This record gives sequence, structure tokens and C-alpha cells, in this order.
Amino acid sequence: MKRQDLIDDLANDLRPVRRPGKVGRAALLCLLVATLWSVVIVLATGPLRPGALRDLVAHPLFVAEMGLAVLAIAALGVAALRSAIPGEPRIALNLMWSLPVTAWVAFYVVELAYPPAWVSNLGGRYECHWQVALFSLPAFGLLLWTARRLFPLRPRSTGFLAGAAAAAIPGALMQLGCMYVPEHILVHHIAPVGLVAVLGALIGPYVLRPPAEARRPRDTAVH
Amino acid sequence: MIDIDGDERRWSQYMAAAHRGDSRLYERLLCELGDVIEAYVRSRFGALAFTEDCVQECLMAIHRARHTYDPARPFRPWLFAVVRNKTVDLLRRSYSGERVPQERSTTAGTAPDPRAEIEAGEVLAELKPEFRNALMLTKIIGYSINEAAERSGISETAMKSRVRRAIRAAESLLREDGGNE
Repeated sequence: MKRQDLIDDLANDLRPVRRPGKVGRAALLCLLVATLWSVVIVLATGPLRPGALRDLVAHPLFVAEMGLAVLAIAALGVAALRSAIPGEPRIALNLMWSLPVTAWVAFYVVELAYPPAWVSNLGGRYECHWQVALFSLPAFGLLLWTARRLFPLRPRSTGFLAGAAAAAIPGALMQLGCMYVPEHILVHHIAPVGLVAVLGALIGPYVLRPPAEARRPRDTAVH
Repeated sequence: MIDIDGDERRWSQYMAAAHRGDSRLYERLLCELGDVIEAYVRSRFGALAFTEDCVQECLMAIHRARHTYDPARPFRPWLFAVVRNKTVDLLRRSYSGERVPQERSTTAGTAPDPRAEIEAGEVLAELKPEFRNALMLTKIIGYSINEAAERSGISETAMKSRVRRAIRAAESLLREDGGNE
């Protein structure tokens, strides 16, 4: 095919694009749906830890910790979708998610040495690490599907971030739905987040391939 | 004279117009980008037979990715991220070492600079595939060692070692080539 013919075809195939290059709204929507799902499934599979909501009201530091979790989740979700846009600056992107995530995890590491007042052995859930991983799968799929509709050039990174964002939601909710012991949190609530992220990095190159690369532009997806 | 800032602004405006559905400016943009991509590929690989395929693949990728370009941001990083990616994809898929014949510019008796030859794509076809891949990713496409290692599925240390060995092999090939001239 001659280049000019291709250009003519592509120009004829042109459709207007709404909100080009913006992922904030898509990320927010994905995270809201994922959070709603996680809240419903966590409540459906067991009660909240006795006294969890009372602790949340009584201890500002607990609120700050949960706020940091929300910030980390939002940063991971936005970073996952931004990483699917060509030419995004990598360093800024990595800083954007790694700082809040590190701060969030550091909270529990510090609590190993200085246990907070709201530590509780009550409300332990059966196989909570598996619950974190399993509950994250619908949100994981939603984020991957949304990222695929962009143009992911680094599918491993995008898959990793999507997995981490999706699993961090039930991972954070387990601080209310399961026992609150820092060792338990790091091993059974946070480590599964890393595992789902690694799964995302592994499957990213396969599931984040752009749709079949049609030679004829009329066969390409309309955005 | 190349007006980088002017190109940047114009392409960004053309793409913004394309987002609104202006096919006339979009066609003009693709024509300009086609020439830019061709120059980019030729400057990195010399006159390879796959240049036109590469240009067309890149234009189609730009078309499919156009909804991800934010007109408030610089155009070039977006463009060359797409172009580099599609070029590497095409090299992986179909680079066979087939080359368009071109004149050698080296003066007889003058030892060629290996890096200059690598830049011109002259020695690539004669290297082992893993060496060629390492040099293409790091020296020609311009990925960092970390990015090249990630793309090749090896460690950073292995990639560094592979690049060093590839440069030595290229130097050796160039020395042999120089002796035959």
C-alpha cells in the first residue's frame, strides 16, 4: 500500500475524540466501582471486626492511616492508567505512586515496634490473604480493560500497577474487616497486594496487547 | 533550518484539530509525521528495506493512539514513544538484515569509527541476533540499560555485559571490513 493511500484512509476514518489524553475520570470511576464491590463483598463474607468503627472514630492516627491507604490506592489507579499513555514521564509516574504506597506500608512496619492502641485479635477471618487476592480480581479486570483501551506501551508496568491498585482496596478494607495486628496485616493483607501486582506484571504483556492490528484503518476501533 | 518549537506547536494544534474531527489538518499532520518518521528511521538504521513498512506501521499506531494525546502536553515525547515502540516491534518481527545498497563514505585507509558505523546501521546485520538486539535497543533506539533489559527479559547486568561484548564484536567486524577495503 502506498503511504499516501494509507494517509487518505486514516484521514477518512477520523472520528472526533472526547477528552483526549485524560484518564482522571476513568481512573476515578474504576476505583469507585472497585471500592463499592470490595465493600459489598467484604461485608457479605463476614462482619467487621468488633469495635473497628469505634476505633476509627476514636483514633485520629487510625483515620490518617486509612486516609493514606485511600491516597495510595488512588495514586496506584491513576498511575496504572497514565502508564498506558505513550510518552508519560516514568520518573514522575513512579514517584507519584511509590511515595504514598511506601508511606502506607511504613505505617505497619513502624507499628511492629510501636503497637497502636487499636491493636485487636478479634474478628480474624478465615484465609484472609486469599480473600484479598480473590476480591481484587473484578477490579483488576476492570482496570486492565480500561488500560487496554488506551495505548499501553509498557504492559508489564501497567499490569503491575493495575494489580496493585485493585488488590490494595480489599487489602485496606481488611484493616476493618479482620484482626488488627501489624505482623498479620503485613503478611496477610499487604503481601497479597504484591502478589496480585506481580501477577499483573506477568500477564500484562498478554492481556494488554492492542486490539488486532488491522491493516485497513476502517477495521480499527473507533474511540 | 529546523524549527523544533514551531513543529511542536503546529503538530499539537493539528492533532487537537484532529480530535475535533478535522480530517484535512489530520491528513496534513500524518504527511508531515510520515516524513519525520522516515528521517528518524533512516538516521538510526541507514537505508533499510523495512523503512517504509516502519513508517506505515507508525502512522497506523499514531492513528490508533491519537485519543491518548493530550494537547496540553508536549507532542514529541508522545510521538517518539509510539514510533520507538513500533520500530522495535517491527524489528523483532521482521528484521532480516536485508538492506538497500548504499555508498560507503569511508575513505580508503581511514579506520572507521565503530560507533558511527553502528549509528548508520552498517554492522548490525552481521552481528549475532542477541548482540544486534542489545545494540539496537541501547545505542540506536535509545533505551536505557534498564529498559532494554526489561524488554529483552534479562537482568541489567546481563544487558550491560551483552552491550559491551556486542561493541567489541562490532569493532572486530569493522576491523576485518577495513582490512578488505
